[in-house]
Amino acid sequence: MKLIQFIPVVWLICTSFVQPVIYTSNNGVVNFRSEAPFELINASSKELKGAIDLSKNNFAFRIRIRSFEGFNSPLQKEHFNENYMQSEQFPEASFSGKIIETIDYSSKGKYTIRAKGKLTIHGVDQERIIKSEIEVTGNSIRISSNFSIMLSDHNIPIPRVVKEKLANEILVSINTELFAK
Amino acid sequence: MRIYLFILVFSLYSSLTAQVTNEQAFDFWQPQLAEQNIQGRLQCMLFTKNHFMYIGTSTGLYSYNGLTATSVSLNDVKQSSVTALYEDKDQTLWIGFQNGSIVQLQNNRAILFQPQEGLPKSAISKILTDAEGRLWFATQGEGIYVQHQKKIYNINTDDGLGDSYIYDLELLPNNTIAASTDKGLSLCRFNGTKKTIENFSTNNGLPDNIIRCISLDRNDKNVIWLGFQQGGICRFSLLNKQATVFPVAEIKDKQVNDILVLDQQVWVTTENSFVQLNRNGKPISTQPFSNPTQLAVDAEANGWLITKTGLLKNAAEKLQLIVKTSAQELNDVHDMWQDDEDNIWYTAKGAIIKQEANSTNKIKISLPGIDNKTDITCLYPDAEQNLWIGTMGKGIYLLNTKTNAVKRMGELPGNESMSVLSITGRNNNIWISSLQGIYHTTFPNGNLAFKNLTDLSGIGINYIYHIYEDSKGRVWFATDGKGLAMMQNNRFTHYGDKEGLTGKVIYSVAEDKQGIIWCAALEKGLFQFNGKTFTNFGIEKGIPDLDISSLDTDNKGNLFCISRTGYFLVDAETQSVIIPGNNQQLGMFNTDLNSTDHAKKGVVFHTSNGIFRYTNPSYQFITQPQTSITSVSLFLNKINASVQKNFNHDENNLSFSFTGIYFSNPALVQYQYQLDGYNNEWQPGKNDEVNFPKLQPGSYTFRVRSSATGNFDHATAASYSFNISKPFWKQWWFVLLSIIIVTGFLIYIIKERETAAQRWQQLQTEKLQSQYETLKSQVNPHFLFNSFNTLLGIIEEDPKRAAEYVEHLSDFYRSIVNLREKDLIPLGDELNIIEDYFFIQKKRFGNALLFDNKITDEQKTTYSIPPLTLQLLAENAVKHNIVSKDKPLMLELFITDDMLIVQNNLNEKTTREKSEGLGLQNIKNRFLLIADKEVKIEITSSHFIVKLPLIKRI
Repeated sequence: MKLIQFIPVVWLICTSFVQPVIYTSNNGVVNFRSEAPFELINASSKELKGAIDLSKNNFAFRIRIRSFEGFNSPLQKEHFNENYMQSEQFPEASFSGKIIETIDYSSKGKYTIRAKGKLTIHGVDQERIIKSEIEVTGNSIRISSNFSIMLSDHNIPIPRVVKEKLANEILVSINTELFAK
Repeated sequence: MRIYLFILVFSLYSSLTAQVTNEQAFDFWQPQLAEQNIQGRLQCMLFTKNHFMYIGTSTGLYSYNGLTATSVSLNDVKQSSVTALYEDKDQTLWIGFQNGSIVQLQNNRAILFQPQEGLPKSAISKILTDAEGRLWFATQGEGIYVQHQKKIYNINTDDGLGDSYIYDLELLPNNTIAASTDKGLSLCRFNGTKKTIENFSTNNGLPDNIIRCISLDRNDKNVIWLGFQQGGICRFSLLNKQATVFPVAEIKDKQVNDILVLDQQVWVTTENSFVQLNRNGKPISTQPFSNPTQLAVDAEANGWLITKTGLLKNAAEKLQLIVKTSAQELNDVHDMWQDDEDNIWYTAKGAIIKQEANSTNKIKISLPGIDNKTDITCLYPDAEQNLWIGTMGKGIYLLNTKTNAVKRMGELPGNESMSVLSITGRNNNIWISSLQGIYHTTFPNGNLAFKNLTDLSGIGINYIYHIYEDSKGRVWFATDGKGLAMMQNNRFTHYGDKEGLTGKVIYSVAEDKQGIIWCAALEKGLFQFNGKTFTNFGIEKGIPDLDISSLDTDNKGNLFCISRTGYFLVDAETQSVIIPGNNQQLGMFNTDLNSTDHAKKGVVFHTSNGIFRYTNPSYQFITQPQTSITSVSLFLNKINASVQKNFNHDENNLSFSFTGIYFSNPALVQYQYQLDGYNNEWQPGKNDEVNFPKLQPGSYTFRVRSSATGNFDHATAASYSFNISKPFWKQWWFVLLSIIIVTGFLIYIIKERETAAQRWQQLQTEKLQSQYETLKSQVNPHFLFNSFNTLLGIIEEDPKRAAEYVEHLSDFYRSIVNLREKDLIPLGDELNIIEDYFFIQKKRFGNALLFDNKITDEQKTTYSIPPLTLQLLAENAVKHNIVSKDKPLMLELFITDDMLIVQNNLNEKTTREKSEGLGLQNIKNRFLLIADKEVKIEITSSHFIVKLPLIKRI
């Protein structure tokens, strides 16, 4: 599983010869919020791994589900991993695909782009277009993005008992800075 | 604090939900598939040429007739989520799946599409065939595939396609295929060798590169509409390849899911709303929805929408809610008018309300001098767009629609207290019916001179509900109790019972496109005028209600009727009654007389739910249920009806399932069926199934038709012809064969009888001859003389033995007499005779005559023999041979090889006794005749052997 998900990253790395066209990061931040009427849940991870191939406008990101911290209680984290995300079976979430907009990465500045690809969470693929802000600084690319994930889209069941404590729509924010390889 | 917050949130939430339900009722989307067992999420829908609807879900395929959904069996074809549906010219259904597989469905049989090149692994987003009938299908990630002369070709980014992820595909003029991708629009052509691709993106003026949908323009071949991921929608001209972008706030920055271009409107679904626009991109209404996706319009001009929660249907452009207001305000509406700028004017308490075009802004225009208790009864816009306002008891007001200035109609005598029932007109003529009389004026002529027609008419002061001037200049007066009066060249003609107008109370008059005058009469339905007389047009013609309060014509000149139960139309060309939709959801219909408005875009009417406009779309659409036979079953097992039309005599139990599809109002559909050849009468049926058990052999045609009105004159019919063959024993060839066989058999029997009779006759002759021979020989004087000589000798020697001898002699003769008549006797009986004979002869010859009988007792009873055969042979032996002590005559009798052998040693007399040879010949003949067997005679040097065939006793 791990190996398979590594393949796009490794492949991207291998296919780079000229210039710094591959940008990678190992410590991006992912934060998610569930704003249910009775409970607010917040958790984040600093283990977002990702790569962008500027020549092909491709990207791949992945994160270990168990790396999320900051729940309201340790028990909640356990529930998150065991009951909802089934982290044993689906240890990672990933998003890989292509960038729709063509951007001149040689000039510094901020751009809004749409990343289109396959978002895999809980083993369920969803075709998604996610809008992101990117900043070209010269030696790095900063990416920040806010989007939402519907639990129902990824077959993550919400038991009736926690319906008021867990929102179906989970708000996700991502912040990462990728450096030339 | 926390509780307070909760209450706040809760109340906000509940008010939001209340608003949502209200909104949904507002646009008359009717939820579909209620109580239907549909598995999975709805993905796509398709209407076929047969007017069937198919729905693809994340687990399979369903067909839907407006009431029930039926799962379509894809047999053992491995399926995943249905992502694309298409019907080709041969009415084959193509089904594309999420996993890249494609299934063809023809005559209810599913076949997996298996080109030798293989199928894609990506989801199929669209399937279509081009002008040459070639199959094209688009994938989400592998570009486009096209089948050309049985080969599959791929068109992808290597060929210049913008991107390999295809959202939508449409066939354009010149056999060009438009594909929408993540990198813009690609126009593709493929001639079998060369792929030509033209790409359009933001560089060419498109607002966005991700194009999620393409829609053809129903009214302009050279226009397509595009929906973007973040750029709203645009109109794209194929002639100059220019995009016209509509910056619609309601759509901007929302992902567009689908576009549907109708006659006057453009419908758009976004990630969270349904938006109606006019063709210039101006929004008409917006409705929130949870992820609405595909839009479609069926052949009845109904609109369909798939949302995350289900399937919805509405009357699309046919019915628009143009004024939404409170029930209280609607209660005071008695008449309304939609002007040519789409402003709507309607009556209220003591005022006129103007709703401005394409908005919900309302202006209240009060009428001076009237209070809240005065009813405003009617509105009439004249040729200069002045609105004439009739009131109850306060006369007529004139409203200048440009300045909104109101003035009293001072020129009309007695106007101050006039009660106005109706104001109508045509061209410059204006007609006023009031409780004070009938008035006429022409306008505009600067001088409003009113002419009182009351005395001239002969109607008297009475209720005139409606005055209608037709296209020929005739003016019709609908009276309360005196039928219709018609004024032509200032002369009045009255129409009543005598002219066929049996209704006395006439509410309304209208003239359709064909120039036919119609009127509505109290409790009598409609009447139709042919120039001289009236004909009733009632329930049997299909009208749903006899109490019609308003007549009008729609934008195509068809008769439009309002009754308490709803609105319906009478097609001007076919005179078929059309019930365009489900009236129940429109609320209570207003039954104010003549309260409709004939607007440019359609007929305006009102109910307790609002003011509506019925528009007849400019294109042709289906107004009657479409009938089809869905399945034919033999002994309740479905058969392939397109192939199987002949049945054996015992395959005589047939069932037919049929459906009349009328999505506009499926609950109204009723059926009539007949089985030609069984019963030639149409049978009524509400069920969609009928069974015919025990059909006799013959030719049949099953016909079924469906109607939404109860009148079947204009109904569509479906039929299925079949044969039940006669059983083989009733087939001509079998009968002929039987006759030949029977005749042959009879001829054979007759011939056989003839031969038998001949044989019998011959037998009789032979028998007689044999008897004669026997008798002759036995009554031979030598025999008698010899016998008596012998007897004489014995009497002297031993009287006892003489008696015995006489006994034998008499037995012998008795036997001859008794048995001679028979054909066959048991062998034993014959042996008795011969033994008697030998007894007699032995007395004479002594040991010179030897008789060796080797026949067993069993054989005596087993076999038969013609009588006197052996006796004759024995006698012959004695007759022709010397019987002496030196040369004794030995007669042997035994059975060997199924032959009875009678043999004697040869010791022929030198002087042969006279013999005619008849005896032997007679035996031969008799055996031939009786047993059809040959008697063999062998003469060796020492023996004379006769071999008699054995005849078994029966």
